[in-house]
Amino acid sequence: VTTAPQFDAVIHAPNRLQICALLAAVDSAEFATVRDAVGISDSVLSKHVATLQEAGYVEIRKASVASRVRTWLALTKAGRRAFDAHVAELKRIVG
Amino acid sequence: MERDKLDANAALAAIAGQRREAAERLVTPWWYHPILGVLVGALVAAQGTDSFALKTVTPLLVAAGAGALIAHYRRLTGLWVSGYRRGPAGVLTVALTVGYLALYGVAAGFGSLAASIPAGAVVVALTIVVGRAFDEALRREIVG
Repeated sequence: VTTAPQFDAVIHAPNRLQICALLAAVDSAEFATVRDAVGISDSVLSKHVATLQEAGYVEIRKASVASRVRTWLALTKAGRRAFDAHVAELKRIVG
Repeated sequence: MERDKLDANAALAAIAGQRREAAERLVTPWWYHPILGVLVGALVAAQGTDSFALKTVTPLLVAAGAGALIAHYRRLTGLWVSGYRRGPAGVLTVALTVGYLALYGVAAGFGSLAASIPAGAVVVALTIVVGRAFDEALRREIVG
């Protein structure tokens, strides 16, 4: 099944694009891992995650491990579809 | 137009960079597959005994051990990828599962240690070989 190219302004912002790219490569990623991979602060990542969550692209799960709460992020089905369509649009532009 | 192209190229490069980052983080410790193999192998080998206690306790120990292994892997990498995914890595997971079921069936069918211990040993070897092939296939798929 090929994805129809569709530019997505929510995803295209540089940090959000990298967040979505990392999450698209896996099923889920820990908040701290995404923060380190993208190279941003906790607060900046929180803001971007909130924007992606508002758009219905990212879901947050909390997991307690050894009395520490860890936050895991994952793309929703809609987020995965939107990201794939955005990548298809970028490839179309590049030609 | 040319600016759009440059922007799109930069975006695609950033995406590729994050895919490489994910692939580099998804490194399984060398002891992961041997331990998983021993756990599942013990479950298979236990089918050859008549001991009800051993047959009851082994699945619980295997479940607890596998759970601890997975939790450690998630803590270590900060990432989680299901084995049952589309592509060659997913095919390897299905092949391993079928292998497990077949060897479990052999061990349970014969019901003797003479059959179940070799079947358990094959499970250990299969887990190590297929597990490492899975890791490589997964990293190739992620980098794209």
